Parts: sequence; structure tokens; C-alpha cells
Amino acid sequence: MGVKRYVAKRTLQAIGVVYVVATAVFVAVRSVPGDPARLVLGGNAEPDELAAVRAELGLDQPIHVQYYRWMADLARGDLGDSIYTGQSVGASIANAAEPTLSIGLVGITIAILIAIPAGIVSATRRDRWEDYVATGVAFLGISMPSFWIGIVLLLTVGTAVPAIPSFGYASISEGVVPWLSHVILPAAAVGLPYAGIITRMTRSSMLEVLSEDYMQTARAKGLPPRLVLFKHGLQNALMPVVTVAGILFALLLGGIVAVEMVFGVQGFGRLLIRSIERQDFPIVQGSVIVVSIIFVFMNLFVDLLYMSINPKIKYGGGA
Amino acid sequence: MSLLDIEDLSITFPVEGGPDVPAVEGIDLSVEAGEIHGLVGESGSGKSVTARSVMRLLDDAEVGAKRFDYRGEDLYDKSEAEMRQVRGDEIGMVFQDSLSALNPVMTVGEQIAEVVRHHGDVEESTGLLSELRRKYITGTSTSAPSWRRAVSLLETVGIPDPETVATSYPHQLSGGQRQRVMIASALGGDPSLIVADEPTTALDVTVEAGILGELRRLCDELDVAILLITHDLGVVAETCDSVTVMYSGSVMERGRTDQLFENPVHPYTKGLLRSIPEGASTGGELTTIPGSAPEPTDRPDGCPFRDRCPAAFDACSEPLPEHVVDDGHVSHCHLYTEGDDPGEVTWDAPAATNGSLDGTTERTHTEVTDG
Ligand SMILES: Nc1ncnc2c1ncn2[C@@H]1O[C@H](COP(=O)(O)OP(=O)(O)OP(=O)(O)O)[C@@H](O)[C@H]1O
Ligand SMILES: [Mg+2]
Repeated sequence: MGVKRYVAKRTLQAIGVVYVVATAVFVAVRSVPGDPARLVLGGNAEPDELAAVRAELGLDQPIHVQYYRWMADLARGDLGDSIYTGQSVGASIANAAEPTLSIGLVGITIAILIAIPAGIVSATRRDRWEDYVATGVAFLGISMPSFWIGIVLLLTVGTAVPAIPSFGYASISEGVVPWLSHVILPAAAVGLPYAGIITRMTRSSMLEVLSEDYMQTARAKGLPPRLVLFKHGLQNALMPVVTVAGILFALLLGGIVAVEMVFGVQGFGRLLIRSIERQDFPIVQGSVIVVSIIFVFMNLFVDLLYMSINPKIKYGGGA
Repeated sequence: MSLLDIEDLSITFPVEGGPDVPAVEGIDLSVEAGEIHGLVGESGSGKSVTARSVMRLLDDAEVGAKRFDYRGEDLYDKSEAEMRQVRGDEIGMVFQDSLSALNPVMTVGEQIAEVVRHHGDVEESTGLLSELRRKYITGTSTSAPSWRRAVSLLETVGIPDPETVATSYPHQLSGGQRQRVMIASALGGDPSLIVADEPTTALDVTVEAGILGELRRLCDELDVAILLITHDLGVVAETCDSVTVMYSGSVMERGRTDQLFENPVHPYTKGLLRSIPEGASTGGELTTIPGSAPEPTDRPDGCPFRDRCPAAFDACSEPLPEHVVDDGHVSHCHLYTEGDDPGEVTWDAPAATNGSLDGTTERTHTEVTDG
């Protein structure tokens, strides 16, 4: 089957996954103790006010009607409105998403730019000082949580380099330079643990590849060593790394929530934490659904990437 | 002058926290231009390490030789850069396991074409960036001279529909086709010597016969010499002009194939030949030499074969002598000191097994004597 049909099939599956997540969210929110209407109005609200708010939120309807409305709204892309601000959930998330996505994508980019070369050097210079340095730094990155790296970066680079602001966020619409200068430290904080893991994976996978027969064949052809490494080795070595990229992405998102706190960025993580504190359940449930959609498509993207570098895998085939 | 002329080659693997492994101990090996020379021996006798030493691919071994001449120039005097001009260009290599020896993520056409670009007379850039661009971005153009040469090489080695096969990945081809691809890629630089390390061991008998026939034809038509490594005397009888018999890191006997098969002098060679089936019709009981070869770290002094040799005597613990039987026919055995007639060597009751030296496969080589 061709790539288009494969993507179509996987998209249908993704919709199924999101449907299940949406149902789970619906059930979970309604089994949490506490009355959302009372939360909105505060402790000493009048009963008729409470009833009005419940009606507005649709909570006076029978459960199956609520479920139907929830799904129907979702299908239209309507995630409801924030209980607190009254702003639509979609708009709230969209506003918060830009800084978070910026940090995430720049973080991944930093991680890959550091980790793949470091892993290759580590493998090709095995047991020499380059390997020890790369391994040491990688373990340092893996063993420190992102928010801690963030605090350290803030106190060192953030204070030492005046051009790098240590607080807040500037939208990319204000220009690339202010945007990047705000994003670079939090991105490094989330990217470094990620880089540590990818470095180690690239190293071990490259070491395995270096001992493969086809690498000896490539040498026996009289090809120069760098060509043997980058033409015959690299793609094979990256395959196992790509397969875990999806899982690592989840790790990275988790790191962003804490890092946004450290750098005072009004991002998605902040929005989520604030909404949980305030029991702003439309935002919480909307966020869970958006995150699940991001994950499903991230995994699809990773799978497509894997297939594009592994000719043994056919679209639609089992493995 | 021989094309490849090696004298007193020793290959030792240093082992951390253990005794070094003397995989090869002082062997001579020579290959004449345009001939097929068989290097035959049991598993572990040192054939593969010898083959890789010719390409200088042994990074973790100490290689020493009085002489390691290719076309009169010592390969071990060359710089690594000069050696890259020998690999692929002068000497091509074919490995046993074609599935693992071919790169799984490259089309076989490109795996041949890159050799043509680096060593053939096509005017295509071979810089790192151009090669990486071809690999990761544009692919190799099917109208490029190197690609067309790759397709014609596939045709040369007897692959039908070479245009389609060239665009295939290794896992999409059969074992026999893959081995032909390996041979085509070894031919890509128009070498004078091909080192083929058990190119047919992984294949079944009919496919093997086809590949061996192909090697013979290439040798005759393209005038390329082949160092053919095998543990199968049937393959030698069928394909080789001359042969070197190895046993546990040493050479036992060498000479032209007809000399060795008609007049074997070393008890080891005699034992091996006795174990070859007498013909397709006899089938039945085959014999082989009782016992097994010693580990490289555990060889007796002198002749490594003496613990299994029915004719062993006191002198066998002395270093191996050289005995010239005939022009080009040399045996390394203490039985043949000047003027002595060793008489008949007799063997104990034959063990029932096959004619293959590895003692494990069930294949018999019916084509050996009736072919
Ligand atoms: N990298 C290595 N380190 C240590 N010992 C090695 C190494 N490579 C080979 N040897 C040893 O060298 C000896 C010869 O090995 P080699 O692979 O040349 O045998 P072979 O004749 O090709 O056998 P086979 O028919 O099984 O391929 C063996 O005893 C092997 O254990
Ligand atoms: Mg071998």
C-alpha cells in the first residue's frame, strides 16, 4: 500500500484514539468530587444562581445528553469556555501553545544537533578522551531534571550574558532574535537531558553498526573512512534512535511544564497547572485532548520517518 | 613473478588477560595472474584472517611477513591512502554471507556504482559531499555512467533483468543473486585479483555450481585471478588451478590441483582426499579424519597435525620442514626428509561422515568426480 493510504489509515486510527481519550476525560471530570458551579461562584452562592450556572454548563442534562453534546462540540472543534476567564478553551490553548511549542522544537533541535555528532564521535573514538567527555556530559544531562538545568542556566548564562533575557517570552512575531534569545535557555534546559539519552543511544547503535559486515565490505571497496561512516553507517545507526524519538518526545513535554515555571513563561504548562489549581475543568479536559492529538500525530510522524529510512519496512506491513 | 606472493606470514591476535591467539603461523601463499587458487582448510584453520590480511583489514591483529608482495610491491609498506587504491581497484573482495555483507539500506545498484565511481574510469565526483548528496538527497541517477556500468556488471555476472535488480535492496534478492551482486561489486574497479571468502558456503548445491561456474568464466574471460577460500575439496577439484591446504594456522601442502589430487604426499591431504565421495553413484559411506583440529592457543610443538596423524613419529615435534615434491608442488611433512620413502600411510577405521572439511553440513558434492 502506498504512503497516502497508510497515512489515511493511521489518521483514522488516530481519531479512534482521540475518541477514547475524550470519553475517558468525560468520565474522569464527572467523577471528581465537587460541584463546578459552586467552584465558579464561590462558597456562599444562592441555589438559584447555582442552578443557572449548571444549566449554562449543561450539567443539568441527563448524562447521555451531556456525553452526546461533549462529543458533538468536540467534533466541531469546540472545547467549551474557561470557567474563569470566559475565553474559549481553543483560544486559551492556542495562546499558550506558541511559547511551549517554541521551547519544545528549539529544544529538540538543540538536542539532535548536539547528540548525534556527540554519539558518533563517542563511538568512533571509543575509550578515548572524546568518548569519556561525551559520556560524562551525557550522564550529567540524563541525571539532572530539566527544571534544575534551567535554574543553573538561569543563574550562570542568564546573568552573565546580558543579551539573553532570563525571564518571560517574546513572540516570534516580534522578530526572530528576541524570540530566540528568550527561548534559548528554556529550550536548552528541556533539550539537554534529551540530548544525553540520544547521545548514548547513538553511541551504542553506531558501535554495533561499526562491527557489521557491510562496514568491512565498504572498507574493502577502498572507500575513505568518513564515507564509510557517513554513507554506509549513519542511516543504519539512526534507525533504533528514531524508534524511541516518540517516547522521548513525551519526556520532553513533561520537562517543559516545570521549565516554564522557572523562566516565567506563560505557556501551555503554566495554563495547565493554573487551571488544575482553579479546577477550571473545561481547560483541563481540552488540554488533555490536545496533548493526546499531538502525541498521536507525533507517533505517526516518527513511524513515517522510520519507514523512510528503513527500506525493509513496507507501508501497512506488520513491522 | 606471482601476482600475489606472500612468504612466512604470521597473524596474531593479542588477547587481553589471556594468551595471544596465533591464528596463522608462518605460511607461504602465492597466486599467479589469471588463475584460480584455492585456499582450503577446516574451520578455524586461518583462511578468513589470511584473506583479510591481503586487504589489510585486520585492525586488531599483528601481521608479520617476510614478504607480502602484490605485483612486486609489499602491501604492508604502503600508506593507508595508497592501500585504498589497492582495495577495490586492484583487489576486490567477496564475502561469504552476502546478506550481512551488503548494506541493507542501499540499492545494490548503488553499492556497485560507488566502486565504479571510485575506481573505474567514469568522470563523476567522489567527494564526501557529492556521495552524501547522492545517498541522502538525490539518489544515483540511472543515466549516470557509474549506474549504467553497474547494470552491465550485473549482466556480466549472469543476472537476468539487471535494470530492475539494480534498484532492489539486498533483502529483496535471493541468496544466489546477492552473491552475484557481491561479485559484480568486486569487479567494479576492474581488479586483477578477487579474494572470495567462501562465496558459496551459504548456498545450496545447484546455486553453488552456478556461482562457481561464473567465477571460472570471469577468470577465463576477464583474466582476473581469484583466491578462492573454501573448506570443500570438491569445490577445489571443480574450480581451482592450484591449491594451498591449510591446517590449524600452517600450510600442509600446496601445488597444482592435478598434482595434489593425483599425487598427494602429506598424510593430511591424503586423509582429506580419502573423505571425498568416489562418485555420484556410490553415495553411501564417506570417511573423514578422526579427531578435531587444536585451538590456536593449544597446538602441539612442531607439526600441528601430529596428534591426529597416523604416521606421526619423533621428528614431528620439530619445526615444519619444506619438501619440494615436484615443480610447484610443496609439502611440509617430516616423513619426507632427503631420500626417504615414507611408504603407505594407513588410517584407522573410517568414521562415517561427509567430504566437507567442516564436518557439519550434510551436503555432498556429487559434481566433484562426475563433473
Ligand atoms: N578477532 C579475533 N580475535 C581473536 N581470535 C581470532 C579473531 N579472528 C579470528 N580469530 C581466530 O583465528 C583463527 C582462525 O580464524 P579464521 O576465521 O581465519 O578461520 P577460518 O579458516 O576462516 O574458519 P571458517 O571455515 O570457520 O571460516 C580461529 O581460531 C579464530 O578463533
Ligand atoms: Mg572463514
